[in-house]
Amino acid sequence: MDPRPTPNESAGSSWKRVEADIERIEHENALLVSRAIDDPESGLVLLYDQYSRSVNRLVYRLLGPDADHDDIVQQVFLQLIQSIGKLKSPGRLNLWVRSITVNIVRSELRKRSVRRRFLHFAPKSEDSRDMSAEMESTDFMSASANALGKLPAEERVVFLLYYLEEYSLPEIAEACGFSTMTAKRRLSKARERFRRQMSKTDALDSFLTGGTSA
Amino acid sequence: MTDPIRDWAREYASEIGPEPKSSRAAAQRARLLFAYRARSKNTLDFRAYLALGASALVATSALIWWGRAPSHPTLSERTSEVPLLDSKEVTVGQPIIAADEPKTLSFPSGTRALFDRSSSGTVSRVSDSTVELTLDEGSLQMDVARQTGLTWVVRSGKFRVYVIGTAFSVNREAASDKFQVRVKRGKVRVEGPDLGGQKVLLGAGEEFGWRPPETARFDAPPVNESQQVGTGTAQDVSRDALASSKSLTDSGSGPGAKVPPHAKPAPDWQTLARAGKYERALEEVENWGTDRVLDSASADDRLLLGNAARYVGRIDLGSRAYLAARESGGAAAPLAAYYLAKIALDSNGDQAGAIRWLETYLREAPAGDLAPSARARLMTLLNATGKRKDAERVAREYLTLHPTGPNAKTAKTLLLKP
Repeated sequence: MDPRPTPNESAGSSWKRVEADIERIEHENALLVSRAIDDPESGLVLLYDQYSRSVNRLVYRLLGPDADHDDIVQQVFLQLIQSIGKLKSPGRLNLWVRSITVNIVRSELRKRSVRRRFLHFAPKSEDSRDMSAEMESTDFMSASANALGKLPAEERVVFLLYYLEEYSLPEIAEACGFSTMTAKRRLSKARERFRRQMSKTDALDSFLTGGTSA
Repeated sequence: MTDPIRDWAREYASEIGPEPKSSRAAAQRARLLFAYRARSKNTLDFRAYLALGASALVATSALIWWGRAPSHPTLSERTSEVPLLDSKEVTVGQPIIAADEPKTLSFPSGTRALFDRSSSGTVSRVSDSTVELTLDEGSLQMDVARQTGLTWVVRSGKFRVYVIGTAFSVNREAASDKFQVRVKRGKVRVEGPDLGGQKVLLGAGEEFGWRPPETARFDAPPVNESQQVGTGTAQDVSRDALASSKSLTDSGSGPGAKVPPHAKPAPDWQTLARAGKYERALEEVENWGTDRVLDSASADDRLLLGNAARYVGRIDLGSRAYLAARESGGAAAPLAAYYLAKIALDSNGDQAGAIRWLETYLREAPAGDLAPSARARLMTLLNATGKRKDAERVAREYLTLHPTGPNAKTAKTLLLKP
């Protein structure tokens, strides 16, 4: 009798490994949550060590190089530690972290939008120049930043989560706390708006005129 | 066909990169901790201010309420003025003389003390748990309204009459040292040095009298030995009164001291309990009335009753007695907390309750005899209930305060365990 596993058995055992991994991660998350509830300060450090990279990445991808990047990351972790006791399923901690990050970015974008609308200026701190200097200032990037800046906060977040982070619509809906239909509608509007912006800018228009179309 | 926005996204993603180029993790983490501590401090300050404000409000309200509530005065030894219902006061130790007409003291609790004509006495002691009146001469009629936690005592010569919700009168002839108690309602307990350390219980309709041997010998007709009860020496009165109700009945015909037909020895449940006869002690308590016993018992007796009840599995009674002991305050209160913890854990499996009572014990008696045991139990319970940090704190405390205690090894193991 051949001792090697059949393809089905092999698939079954690898599925079991995945399940075991998920169970282990959920267990670790639950321990982390319990620790954070008992001792918030050390819990905060543990949360930061585990999630700082993913939070930083998500904030960066949604806002781009931004002077307030560190403040927003800080807000995310403070919000996490403040409301960790309300987390109903500690095993889903990673999804919850993602959701809080997305919502804080949304909130920040809304505030900026209000400031722009009513105060006609968006305050820039000194170090924003340092942050911007991190990337090469090209026409493409400045045009992209400008086009993204024209999107309303809610649409911009959905748009970037979909195109840049490659989230599915249900994942976007879960992270933002609205329905899949709302996510779909906002994505559609954002797409239209962004297209219009692309057509107005030489640096981006080439993507439309380069023989490609939706 | 490809989506031009997807093409743009690929280009944008490759330009922007997956994450910020400079690593700011260390600075971010330090800032985060600083912000968290600052926020916690502010929150704490806010809570402290809130607590202070609430305390001030409560204190002010209590003062206002206290000032407007003359019907609920505190009977305290600190104040020598005892308020009465008719807006008068009587000073502790001040002579009360009812020369030509009776004098009534109406206390806020509803208790009335009537000094008959040609009587005198004092309110001799007032504390939160006891009001003691002294009858120097004449007759004092008491109508005591029952009040939990407050014992009324009438002292007359060498005798003390303890009252638990009753109406009775005490008579005394100071010149001849004659003493008499008549009970109209309820029960009283009479104690005195001439009763040989025993106590006499009197029920409704019963009376007890005593007079010095000289007077007795003068007044008493010749009686046989058994009839000399109450008319012989004081020691005779007490011994025989406590020994035989028949003798007591017979003695009632004597012109001198009159001992009631139903007078009997007090159900000395304390002696039984101390002798380890817990069931019988509890029977005596129930015969006498658990409420009454608890109301009139000292803090130590409440503790004794709680222990007796606990030893025979009468958890409800044990808890009641311990809670009553805690109301009494003093050294019995923390001990009662410790035993309540034992009841919570051993009988009810209530770990949270046991933790609460053990913490109470340690707060009230941090260096008490049972403190090492309380700390060991608390440490184990906290660990078992997942409060690891608190358990470690108690373990450290245990090792500091009782480094060679029987549970030092357990404490060390708990601290070393990852």
